[in-house]
This record gives sequence, structure tokens and C-alpha cells, in this order.
Amino acid sequence: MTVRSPSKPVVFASIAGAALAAVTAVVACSTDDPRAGTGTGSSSSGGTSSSGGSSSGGLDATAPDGPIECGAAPGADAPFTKQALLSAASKCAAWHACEFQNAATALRASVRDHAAAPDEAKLTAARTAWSNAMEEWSKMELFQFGPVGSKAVDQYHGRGLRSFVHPWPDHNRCQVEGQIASKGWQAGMDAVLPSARGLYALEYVLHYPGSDHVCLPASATGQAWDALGPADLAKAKNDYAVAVADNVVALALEIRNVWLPEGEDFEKKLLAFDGYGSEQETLNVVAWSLFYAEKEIKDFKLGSLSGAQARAYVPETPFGPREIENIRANLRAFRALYQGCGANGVGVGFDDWLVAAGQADLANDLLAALAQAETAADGFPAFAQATEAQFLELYNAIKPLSDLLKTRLFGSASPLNLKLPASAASDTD
Amino acid sequence: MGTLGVLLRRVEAALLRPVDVAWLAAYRILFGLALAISMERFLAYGWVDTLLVAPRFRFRYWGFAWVEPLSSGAMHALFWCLAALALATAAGLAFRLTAPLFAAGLTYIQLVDVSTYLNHYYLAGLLAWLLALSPANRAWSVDAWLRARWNARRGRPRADDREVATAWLILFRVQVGVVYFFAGLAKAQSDWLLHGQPLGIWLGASTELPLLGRLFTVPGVPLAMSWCGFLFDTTVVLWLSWRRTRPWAYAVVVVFHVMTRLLFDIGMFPLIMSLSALVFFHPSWPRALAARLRRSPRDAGPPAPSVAPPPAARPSPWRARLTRAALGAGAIYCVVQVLMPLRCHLYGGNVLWHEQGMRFSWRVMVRAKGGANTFLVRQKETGRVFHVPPHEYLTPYQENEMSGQPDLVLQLAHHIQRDFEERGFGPVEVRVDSQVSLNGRRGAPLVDPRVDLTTIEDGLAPATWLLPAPNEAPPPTRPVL
Repeated sequence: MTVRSPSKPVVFASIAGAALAAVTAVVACSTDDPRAGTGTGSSSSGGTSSSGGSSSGGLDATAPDGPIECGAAPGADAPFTKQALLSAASKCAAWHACEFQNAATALRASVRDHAAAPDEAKLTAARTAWSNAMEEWSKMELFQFGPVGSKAVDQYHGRGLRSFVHPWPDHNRCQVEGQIASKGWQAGMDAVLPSARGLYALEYVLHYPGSDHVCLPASATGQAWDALGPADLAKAKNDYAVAVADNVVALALEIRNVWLPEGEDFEKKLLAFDGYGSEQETLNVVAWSLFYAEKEIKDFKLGSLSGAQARAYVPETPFGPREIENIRANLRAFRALYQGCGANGVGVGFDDWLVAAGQADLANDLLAALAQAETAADGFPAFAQATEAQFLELYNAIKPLSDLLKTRLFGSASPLNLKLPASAASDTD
Repeated sequence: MGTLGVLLRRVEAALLRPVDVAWLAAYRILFGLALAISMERFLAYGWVDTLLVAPRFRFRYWGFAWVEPLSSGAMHALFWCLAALALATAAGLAFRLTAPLFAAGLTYIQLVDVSTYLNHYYLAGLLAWLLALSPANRAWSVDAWLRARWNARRGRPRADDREVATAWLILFRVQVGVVYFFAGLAKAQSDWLLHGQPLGIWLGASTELPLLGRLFTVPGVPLAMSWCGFLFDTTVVLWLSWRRTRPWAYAVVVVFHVMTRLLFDIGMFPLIMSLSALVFFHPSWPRALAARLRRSPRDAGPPAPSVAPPPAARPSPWRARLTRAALGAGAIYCVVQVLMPLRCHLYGGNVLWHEQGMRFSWRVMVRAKGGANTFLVRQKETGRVFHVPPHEYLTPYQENEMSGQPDLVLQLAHHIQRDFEERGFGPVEVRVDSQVSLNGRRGAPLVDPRVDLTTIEDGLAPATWLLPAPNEAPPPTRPVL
């Protein structure tokens, strides 16, 4: 046997070092891989502001004063493909963005009207407009991908605009009162924290009749507030309401422009998996919106009130109580995304994917669970009139839907390979 | 000496027969590099934080509850150290120190949280320990180079650094063979062989692949692929062991593992298995390959170093006893490796459902399983019941992993009991409303909802608090474009 002398260590070291360096480079470059969970999630093109509609995708940022034509809810039966599903979800989100923009525009008009010459009739009209805007937003915010999605959910293209429009459950009354008293917003809405903005701030101004505040009396806000006379306080509130309403319209426009073909054409990005890395990951992110029924509705909105969960309750709309209406709207939007955006669920949805994949039973189970949740919500009284037992009944009516999502539609058992939201990417087996 | 004694002597002689060390040295280099990459992946993908640092609650291995996680900084430092140790192992630098340290570190990170258990992490740990105990630094290593220089300076004869006992080769072959064979045996069940599940589900995530993606949607293809996977796993060791089929079998090994890497998020497993399958080649394969690459057959070395070994000096009695003890330990290790995957049969039922005997048994990629668990905490004094979603205690990754593994459900139930009682809710009972789906089936309760889990202790006995698996066949889930 011919035995060569051992290789010199420098050879090993060089090989090993070069290999590790190469691998490190490859791995580092791969961190944009959606499975890595460390995607950059950049907001990419369009130059949009993520804090409140300063510009939008190269389009004119000025929203029209009147309603724009949104048409009927998009929904047409078509053979299922994953591309058709992404397209349907995109068109549905875009249509809801259009509807919300109209509601926001109407709200702005009535808030301005009321601020210019306050009276009860105008206040009532503004409250109604706020309620309509809240209704539309409760549908819009279910589409938690792209412009509305947070970076925590849609790490690729999420812009987190939701928290500026509707900061619940992170809203903060003292922050709103701080803006009213200090007029800090006059330096620009970008300087105002999300917790003091959006529909919550408008709800407070339009629905809360009191002149007290919840900030510490010795705080700057407390002192500034206490220094205002009734007329100054009323004017300060209305001025802030106008600024916030303007900002909500700007945000609505920004959201819509992301979807518009002549804007950023976000549908095109979804169809090309632009930034998401794969079709499956794109579908994951879109589908995660359905988890709103589990986390936001069941746990946050009902968990505590039903006595089923030991958690603090943060009312979604504490001053203009329409919590149950919000839940109803949430569930309508759930159906639009899950079943189809058209009337009565017509159109391509996740149920069509299940049927095409041979899981018709699951598709129907989910529809039945959704119908049960909708029926329970439709028959539910205003939150203020409901008993804990009724809340528990509603909670239990929604739980099967959220259980089905976690048991079968998402996670390791998903027949569609849909990952659970925010689940850390990792190897398997 | 009786017949058995003669037989044992022959076996011992066969096991101690020297073979070329080249295979082991090459494996050391390749394995070390692969594991260095693996450590780098954990760092680059942020898994050190998400899997090991972020969780507030950790699932413990039975008997290893004392293992505590490090702080974030220390955990990151550990992974950098492990990457360096893996490279040192590859280089054979201070091998007797670096290789065991690497194996110990690898074992530690696996013991931090059961929910991170993966078959291939476990395999990597076993191989790391086998390597650490082996004389893999005998050739092509910094240690060997230093030893040679040391001896040369003192005019001593060169140490014999070209051979190892056949037992090492057999040990590695058994280890790798067990993984393949039992991975195949785990597929010998109706879901896999009759219904093509869960492969039919998983292929649906890859329909965007050029050419292949459309192929996956053709009826029958997932089932055919299931059979191919079953036949590959159960027979590949045979084909790799037979000299005439070995090159072709290895080509199939590479193609198979490239495909699995392409289709599934199984990380380093394909690479580790592709490298490990090399142990079935002739022990001198690295020299032959090097010679072929240099196109110089003279450097190829002897074709079969096992032929006519030089007469060895008779070992001292204590060394002979030590050698026999080592051989005995190796034999016990092999027996344990063979029995571990079979232990599930002591429990009866469907191991994919109840999971008793699931870990450490190479049931790789055979279940698409998950579910929803709501913990129902009942105050004994008031009778009030709280619904506790697992995400209040677990990361999404942990929750997903726990959902189908009842021993983890039990651990969390005990933790929730302690937490509620510490928060002043008084004595509580904890039950679970569980709905678990296996391979596309309708969800079914896994844990008996009537059982107060605070009264149950984890152990090796059959879990009477679990409900039987659903009987129906999985629905025909198929990939869709």
C-alpha cells in the first residue's frame, strides 16, 4: 500500500474556510427566501408613505370630494387555479379599498361640515358617516396583506397602514386628548402616533360628549386641556377631527392606489409572487387573513366578555358602540375571501381550492361553521345589552370556525400546505 | 473453547480486521463541513432566536428537565463555536477535544426544547458522537500531520495512520442503514401505499415547479411516487452494499435526495444522507477517487487493504479486554438502534396518531398532522371554566409542533395548572379540547376531553388518556395547479 504523507493543515484550513465562506455567502444571500423568515419585507415600489398618504404610487394623492365608481363586488365563477384565487383575492381587496375610500370621503365631508358650523344634525350626520366608514373598514381590514397588512403578518409587502386607520386594540384616549390640547398635529400627521389617529380618534371626538380627560392632571396634556375653555375645547376637537378625517382619506387613497392597475398594481405582484418567493408563500400570506376570525374576533373581541378567557378586554369602538356590527362586517369579509367576493359568495375562493384538491368535505365544513358564526352574530344584541352567557354562546358559535382553521386548513395537517401565521420557518423531519 | 467461543473469536477477528482509514477520514471532513453549514444556517435564518431563545415556555425531554437555555447572546455564541468546532472536526484539529465538544454542543441544543426535535437533527447528533469516538483523525488531519512531524523530528518511525478496524465501518453502515430501512418500513402502511398520503398533500405546494409541477397533478403520480419512496428507502442499503449495483444505487441516492430537497423543507438532511451513504463504498474510495481525478492510477493505493493484513503484535491483556468491551458497546448500540424504532409495537394502535414510540424511530416524512387544542381550566372552588389558547404560552412554531404530540400537550397542561395556581386562581383542573387531523382526515379528538390532565404523569406506560385514531381512510387530496 502506498501511503502518502498527511496533507498539510493549511490545505484543510483553506478548503474548510473557503467552503464556509462560500456557504455563508450563499446562506446570507438566501435570507430573502421566504422560508427563512427573515425577508426584507420592503415596501418596494411606489414611493408611498407608510404613515399616512403623503403620496401614492405616482398617482395624484388628492382624493376626489365625491364618491368614485367601484362597481359591483367582483365575483364570477371560474375554474379554480391558484392564480385565479390570487387574482380574486386581489380584486376583492381592491374593491373593498374603493368602498372604504368612498366611506372615508363621505366621513371627511360630514366632519368638515360639522366643524364649520356645529349643530346636532350635522353631528348626527357625521356620526352616521363614521359608522359607515367603520362598517367598510371592518371589511377592509380583514385583507391583511399588502397595504393593510402589518409587517409581522406580511413580512414581504406589509405596510401596516391598518394601524393608522384603526389602531385598535392599541388606541389610546390620552394620546388623542394630547393632540387636541396641544395641537401637535399641526406640525403634520406624521408626527402623531397611530394610537391617537384614525377612526378611533374620530369616534372619540364625534361620540364622546364629555369635557374631561384621562391624562394625569399634572401632565402637560392635563394642564393644557384644563386651560381650555368649553368653546376652545370644542373647536380644538373639531379641528383635530378635520385633520384626522383628511388623514384617513389620504390613507384610504394610498391603500387603493396600491391596488390600482395604474398605481402599484399589487395584483400583478401577487400573481408573480413578487417578493414572496413562491406561489405557495403568496397564498400563505393571503390566507392568513382568515385567521382574523380566530385571533381578533374570538380571542380579542369575545374572549374576555364571554368569561372564557382570562384576558383584558379592550373595546373596539368604546364611544360609538357598534362592536357587534363590526364583527358582522368582519365575517362578511371572511366569506368574501374564503368563498368568493360576489354576492352570496360567488367567485373563486379558498373553498374552490379545497374542492379542487379533493377536500370538498372540509370546504363544506368551513362554510357550515361560517354560517353558524354569521347567524349567531346576526342575532346578537348590542354589546351593552348582552349578558356573559350570551357572549359565551357567541364565542362558542365562532370557535368551531377557528378550530377548523387551525385543525385542518392551516398548519402541519393542511391539505393545501398552508402554514400557520407567523410560524417560524424551519426544517421538517 | 466451545463452538460459541470459536464463533465469537472469529467475529472479533473479523471486526478487528484492518481496513483503509480513508473512508472515515473523508467522512470526517465531509460531515464536519456539512454540520458547519448547518450551524451557519441556524444563525443566518434567525432560528437561534425564533426556535431556541424566543420561547417563554419549553417542552422538556423526560429526564432532561434540568437542561436550561442560554441567553440570546450566549446561544448565538454557542452556534458560532459549534460552527468552528465542526470545522475543526473536519480538519482533524485537536480532534479528541473538538469532536466530542461539538457532539456535546449539538446534543445540548437538541435538549433545550422537545418541539425542535427532528429526525435529522437526532441523526446528526448520533453521527457526531460516533465520529467523536472513532479514530477519524488518523489520516488527512492536522493531528496526523503534527504527529508525523513530531515523529520525524525525533527520528521515530511513522505511526501507522492508514487503517482502522472493520468494526467502525460496520458501525457507521448499521447506523446509516437503520435510518434508511426504518424510514422505509414506516411507509409500509395504508395511508402511504394505498392512498399516496401525505405525499399527495405535500406535492400540492410545488405545482409551480417547471415540468415537475404539472406532473404532480396527474392522477396516480403521488401514489407512484409514494411507492418509489418506499422501495427506495427499504432496499437502497441492499443495492449500496452490492458492489455491482453500488454506483447506480448511489446515483439514485443523490437524485432522490436532490428531489426531496427541492420539494420539502428538510434542510441538511439530504446532504447528510448523501454523504453518509458513501460509507457503503469500498473503504479506499477516497484514494481511488483522488487518483481518478488526477488521472494517475499509480496513486490509487491498494484496491483492497483488507487482503492479507500484516501480522500484528499480540495486544496486552488489558488492551484486549478494552477492545472487547468496545466491541460489546458497539454491538449494544446497534441492537438499541434496531429496537428503538420497533418499540412502538409495544403500545399497539397507530403510532402516527398516539406518537408513543414516534421519536428516535426514523419515521421520516410520513405524517401531515396538526390540530387545535384549547385548554379548559376549571377552578375547583367556583367551577368557572377558562378557555386558554396555547398561543398565550407558546410561539407559533411550538404550538404547531405541540398540536399533534400528546406528551407535549400534557406538559403544557401541567404548566398552565402551575401558572393559574400561582396567579391566584386556586386549585384548578385542566382538560383539553383537541381536534387533530392526520393526513387530510377530518379532525378528531386526540386527548380524552374528560380527563383532568393534572392527574396524569408522563411516562413510558401506554397513555390511557388518549383516544383511538380515526378509522376512515384519508380523503383523496391531490395537487392542484
